[in-house]
Amino acid sequence: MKFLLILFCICLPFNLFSEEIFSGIIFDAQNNKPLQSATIIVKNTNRGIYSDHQGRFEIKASSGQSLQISMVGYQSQYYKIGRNNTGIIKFHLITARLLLDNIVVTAGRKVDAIQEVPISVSILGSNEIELRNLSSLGDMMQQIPGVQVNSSEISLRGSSGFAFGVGSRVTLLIDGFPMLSADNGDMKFDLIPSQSIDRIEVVKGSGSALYGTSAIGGVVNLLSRKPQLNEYGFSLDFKSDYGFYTKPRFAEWEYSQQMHRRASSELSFGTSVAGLDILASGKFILDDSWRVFDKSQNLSTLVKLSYQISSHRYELLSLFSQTQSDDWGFWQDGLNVFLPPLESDKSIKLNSRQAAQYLSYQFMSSNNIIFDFKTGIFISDYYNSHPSDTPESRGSEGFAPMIESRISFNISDNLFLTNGFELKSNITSSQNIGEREQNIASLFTQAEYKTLDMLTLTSGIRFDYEKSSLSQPNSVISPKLGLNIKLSDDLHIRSSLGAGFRAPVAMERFSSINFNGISTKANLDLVPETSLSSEIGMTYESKYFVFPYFVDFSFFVNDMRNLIEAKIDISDNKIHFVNIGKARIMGAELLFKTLFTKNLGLELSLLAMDPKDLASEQTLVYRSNFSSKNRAFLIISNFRINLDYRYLSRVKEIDPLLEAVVNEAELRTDAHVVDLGIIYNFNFLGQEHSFSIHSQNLLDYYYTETAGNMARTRLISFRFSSKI
Amino acid sequence: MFRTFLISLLIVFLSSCEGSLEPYDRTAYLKGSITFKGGINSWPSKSNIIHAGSNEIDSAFGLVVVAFTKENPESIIAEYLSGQMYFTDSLPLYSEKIDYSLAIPTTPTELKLIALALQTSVGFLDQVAISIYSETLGDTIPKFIFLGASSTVSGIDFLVDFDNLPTQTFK
Repeated sequence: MKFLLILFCICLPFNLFSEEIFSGIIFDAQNNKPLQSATIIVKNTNRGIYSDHQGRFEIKASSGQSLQISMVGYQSQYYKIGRNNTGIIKFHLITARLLLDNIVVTAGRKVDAIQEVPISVSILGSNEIELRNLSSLGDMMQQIPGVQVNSSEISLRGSSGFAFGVGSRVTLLIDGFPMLSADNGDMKFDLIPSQSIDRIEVVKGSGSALYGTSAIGGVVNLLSRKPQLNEYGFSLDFKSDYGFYTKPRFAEWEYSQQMHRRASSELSFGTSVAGLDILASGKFILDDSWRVFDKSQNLSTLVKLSYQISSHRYELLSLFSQTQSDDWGFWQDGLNVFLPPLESDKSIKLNSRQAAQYLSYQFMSSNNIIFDFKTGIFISDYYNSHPSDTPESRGSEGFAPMIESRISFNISDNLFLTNGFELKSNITSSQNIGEREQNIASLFTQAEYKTLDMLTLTSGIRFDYEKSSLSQPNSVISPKLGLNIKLSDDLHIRSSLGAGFRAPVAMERFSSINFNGISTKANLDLVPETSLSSEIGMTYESKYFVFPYFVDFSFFVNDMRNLIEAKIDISDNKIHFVNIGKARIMGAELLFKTLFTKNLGLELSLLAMDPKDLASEQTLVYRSNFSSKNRAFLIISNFRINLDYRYLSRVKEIDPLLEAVVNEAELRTDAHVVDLGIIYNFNFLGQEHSFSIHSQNLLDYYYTETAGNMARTRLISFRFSSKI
Repeated sequence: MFRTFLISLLIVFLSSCEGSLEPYDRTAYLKGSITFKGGINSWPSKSNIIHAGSNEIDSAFGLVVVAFTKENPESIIAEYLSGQMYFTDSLPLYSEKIDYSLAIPTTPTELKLIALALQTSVGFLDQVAISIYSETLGDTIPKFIFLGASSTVSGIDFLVDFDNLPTQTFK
């Protein structure tokens, strides 16, 4: 009792007399417009708040403490609170050119400075997406270091090979909402209009302690943007492009006299009515493809309503996407690389739809208790046009409702605690796998401790209970531990250890399909895959003479158990998914960015890894040992030139099953891909417009992404975009 | 520095042109030897006249190794037109032993009948199978051969016994 009284007396002066409400307004330094959703953090504490739609904020802080004011795309500012701070302080944020100073929300499910998180994070901003004319998630992910895209699958640091899109080992989120389908556990690349994306955050390494199933290789979080309104109170962004695939360089591979084209248009409208922010975006893509019988058309829309009143924030997110495509599988052979096998039925179409409706509520109290609530449903379906009574018919519907609640609060200035639960179901109705249901209930907690102005220690644990139709229940515990040491303002060391798991999806447990000569069957004995990933890394930023540069290096090891892979059962020659042994992916990743002048910048990255099946000592299938992603930009007057170069070393091993089915599946090589964009920016009638020419795969370099699948050949497109 | 930067980029891009997938010559080769039982003397004389329908040969106008992707080819002309038959240039007549090489441009493929055919008149279609490639030299049960792209399969040997010709498998 005596001790508590003494402690109370010690704490009393700090709590009652030192802390005061500090007010400010945040502006864009260039156009003097208020900035909504900027983040204000009291340094060396976990206290933070967002600015409202007028750029205003109020936060409790003591004199002598420093505030960090951050926003994506802007350089962070720091402000030390004096003894007599009264009135409202104005902050003017300057646009960040090199993105050295940025924040992330995915790594710890809260706002963090990117240098201060214990795990590797990459960010692709809307500016990069816009400047490179990227419309599909696959194209966007190709730009990010450490990411390999195998047809419809994303692999983070070698987490995945190729499994016909079934069972993603990367969690896909939009604004924190899960977006993997209930039946296949796969991700769709044309889910949302690119104009509605503010940035993509990619967290590398097992993240199941926070995100549960599928985050075995990492997390991809697409964050939608806030409308930046003009003086008339609205924003209107439009872009349209038209392009064509050039003819093959070799006469032997020519397949058509007709030009194969690609066209897309996007429109995005934003406004604010009585504090209600509205963003509505739509996209339409028509793509003849670089292959024959691989046409597709896609329509996607996003509507987001945000309302913030004092410390309460409500968001409603609605998505819809519909795609019709030819049912392309793989090539005929090495002489007919752009044609499907002779026996394939070219009249068959594949239709897929996705819709999502999500609601979130956040409350941030003045004493820094943050309450988050999310609920919603993701619905997806697909079917091909084979008559439903034929063995080739495929079709499925999936419903994935979820509910999640979190509460975060400061135990002290240095200790931040987050607790929560999540309930999720994957309900599948399919002619191939029947009526199936998977339920997952989760509890999680995470603590973050900051001390000595240099150390951030994070720990967390999550318990998931999974039960599927006809299968035994599974329980998984996923712990994590992270450490970030700030050795100086420019040098941070990080280290993390985290567990991951992925519960088998319905298609893996119950599949029974026929596709291009492949038949599959069920396996009810599948258990979840698990992983344990560890990483040591550092970030360093400095100047060489007058050239600023930034370096990020990490060494990682990811041990995976019970990996679910497709194998052939020789008793009936059918494919089924089985748990195989152990795998280990060990590697290192290096990122280097610099600016030679404010108009000439360069970014280089290199990933080297050794993905091994520990039982056979063979390299895991569809993993490149080396990859490098590099980009440069040059600005001359109103012109901007972007040059991107990607390298992927030849994958050593591919799936033996595909080798048996696909003619000349062994044809594969290193990938060297160069993309070029020349953008002309101009003002007309006081509005910003741009006209640009883009060439993807400028050198028309031929390589395969998966067995019998030639990657995109040279595409030349012309784009016009306008911002009002 | 700017110039160095541009030159470096140029070198990277030019070097990256190498290694792209490209159509390649997928021609595979069958190689072997043909032995005539009894030597040159076993060959029918040029003036021999035989009866149609019998397995006796009246004359020799040409000798080719022929390979089919069908197990039971209906006719030479049909298989030739459908691209399922391959054959050598005419091999020397009245020899004791001949080495040959047969090019198969469309690979990978499986050959289900490989035979030695003798042209018995001026007409190209007048072909008689005088030996079938089989498991055992001189046998008449066809042996299948899988040919990978750009591969060479040797040891496809024939033994010809003019006194004991195989059953005719194609017309």
